[in-house]
Order: sequence, then structure tokens, then C-alpha cells
Amino acid sequence: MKTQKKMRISSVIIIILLVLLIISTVRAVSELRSYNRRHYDTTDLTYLIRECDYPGMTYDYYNSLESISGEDKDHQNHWAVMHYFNDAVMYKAFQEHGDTERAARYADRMKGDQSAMGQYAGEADVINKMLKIGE
Amino acid sequence: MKCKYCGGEVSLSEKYCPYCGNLNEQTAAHADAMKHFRKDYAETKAGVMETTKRFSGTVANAVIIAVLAILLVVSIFVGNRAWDIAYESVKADAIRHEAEYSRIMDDYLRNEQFLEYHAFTEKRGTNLYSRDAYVSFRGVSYLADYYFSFYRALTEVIAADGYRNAEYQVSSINRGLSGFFEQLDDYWTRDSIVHTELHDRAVGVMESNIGLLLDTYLYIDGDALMEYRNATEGMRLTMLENAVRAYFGGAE
Repeated sequence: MKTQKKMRISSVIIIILLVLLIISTVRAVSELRSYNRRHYDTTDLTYLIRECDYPGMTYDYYNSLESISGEDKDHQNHWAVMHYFNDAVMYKAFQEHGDTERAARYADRMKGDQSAMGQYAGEADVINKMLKIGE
Repeated sequence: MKCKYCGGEVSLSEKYCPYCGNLNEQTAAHADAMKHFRKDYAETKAGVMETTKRFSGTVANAVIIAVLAILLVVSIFVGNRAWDIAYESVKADAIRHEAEYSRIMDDYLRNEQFLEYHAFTEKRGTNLYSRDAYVSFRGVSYLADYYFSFYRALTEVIAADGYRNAEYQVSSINRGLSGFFEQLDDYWTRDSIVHTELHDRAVGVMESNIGLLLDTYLYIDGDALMEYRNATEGMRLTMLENAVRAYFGGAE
């Protein structure tokens, strides 16, 4: 009887330890994975585009591994909008200051970005209007 | 042995005396003793088995609990120090791949991709200034960090839909700009900075880009920028605040 009770207690301890171990292992793995990585949700990126928060996207992008390890295929359209914005910012600066060579380089990049935008291609007009490009 | 009754020779296997027919009492006693012995033996055996089973079960449980407890402590430690562990691993990679990473960083600088350069140094741990590796990138990396801060804050202003949503970026722009120009002075004057033609050119382009961006979006031209660089912190902030206000058409 006493032995059975002891066995029951140790079984309960084992189960508790197992549960704690699983929880802490999941936490440790997710913490390790989260270093330098951020999971981008399509909804989040779509929201940022809708809000014209291109600088926020820029910050997220350049603070993630995607900026140096290659973009996730699912988000290439979204990132293309952000690239278009940044290239347009530089394009306007070079264009207005007569640096035609660099301006042309950025204009080419903008064309490439726009063709990669997919369903967000219309954002190019929003960005041009924001930066007063082509007015 | 001999029969108790007639004295005839009987063996242990004979239950009755073959001479007088009486009960061979020694055989009976022996059979009785054997019966007890078997019972004792079975009880002892069962006891030993039970004890062994109980002991093995307890030991096994104790071992399982000990192993689980150790694993739990390890996983909690890893969870708490995950970022340190990952950081150390990134640092180790940065040292191991120094030649490859240096080439990539030079390519970014050559192509004037300063945002990418900044991201690479951050993520690949090549901005570990205390190490001997990447020492030639030290100066340009500091400048790229401030360039990124400035650029981010400026684009926040550009994308804001009014002065009220942009004014909080004034101090961020100032931090980025002030930091950049302080580092720029260090870059050209400090003996410890390693100069290469590529890095000097990249630094020049970064400085020029900042000037162009300020002039284009905040209407701060070369003379005003020089004035900014010589101004006090308070004057710098006022200057930037007015510039941001002007960007939104002099809004309140």
C-alpha cells in the first residue's frame, strides 16, 4: 500500500516534470529561433502598405534576416512596395540635384520594383504623389 | 533406515513398511518437512521477487525524475540565455567567415547600398568593434549605423500625413545627424581608423546623400547644414523642427 502510494507520487512528479520540460523546451527553441528572425504575417504587411507606413516596413525589413538572406516568396510583392518607396526617395534627391547618372539608376530600380509589386502596383502612384515625383 | 515397528529395512521412498505394513513415519515426517520447505521457499521467493520489483521500480522512477529534472534545468537555462547563445554563435560565424563577409560588405559599399550594409553588419555580427576582425570596417560601420537612423527618421517625416505625426521624429533625425557628423570627424581624424579607398569613397557618398536628402525634403541646403553642424544641441533641434514644419507647409 505504502509502496503503491510512493509509486503514484513519483508518477505524478514525472508527469509534472515532463509537462514543464515540454513547455520550457518549446520556449527555448522559439527564443533561439527569434534571434534575428521575425515572422512576417501577410496581414501585417498589407496593413502597413494600406497605412503608407513604408518607413516602418523599411525598419522591419532591414532589421530582419530577409534583407540579407533572401526574401520570403510570399512577401516579395509587399517588400517590392517598400523598395519602390526607398528608391523613389533617393531618385527624387538625385534628380533634383542634377545627378542624372544616379537618378537614372534609381529610376531603373523603381521600374523593377513596380513590376515586382503584383497586386500592389497601384501603390507606385501613391508613393509618387507622396514624394511629388512627376508633378 | 529401519522400521520403527518391526526393525525391517525401509527406504525413504516407501510410505509403508514392506515387512509389517505399518506407516513409515520417517517418510511421513520427511514429506511434511518438504511440504513446509516448499511453502517457505515459495513465500521467500515471492518476497524476494516483490522486493526486487519494488526496488527496481523505485530506482527506475528516481532515475527518470533525475534525468527529467536535469533536462528541465538545461532547457530553462537555454531559454533564459537563448539570445546570448545565439549572439555567441553569430559572433563565432562572423570570425569564421571573415573573408567572405568582408567581400560582401565591400560589395554593399561599392554599390552604395548603405541600408543593406547596415543590416548585414547588424545581423551577421560584423559590427563587433571590440574584436580584431573587421577592424578596417569599424569607422564606416559606425557611420552606416547613424546613416540608417537618420534615413529612417527622415522617411518617417516624409511619409507622415501631417506635422503632428512627424514632430516626434525631430529628435530622432537630430540624433542620427549629430551622431553621423561626430563619427565623421572621428573618421577623418582618429589614428585608429583604417582608411581604404573604397571606405573613404563610401563615407563621402553617405555624407553627400545626407546633404541631398536634407536639401530635397527639409530644404536644408549646404550653408544651413554647415550652420547646423556648428550649432548647439538646442539650436540644432530648433532648426530641424522649423524644417519639418516647413515640409508640411508651415503647419502649426
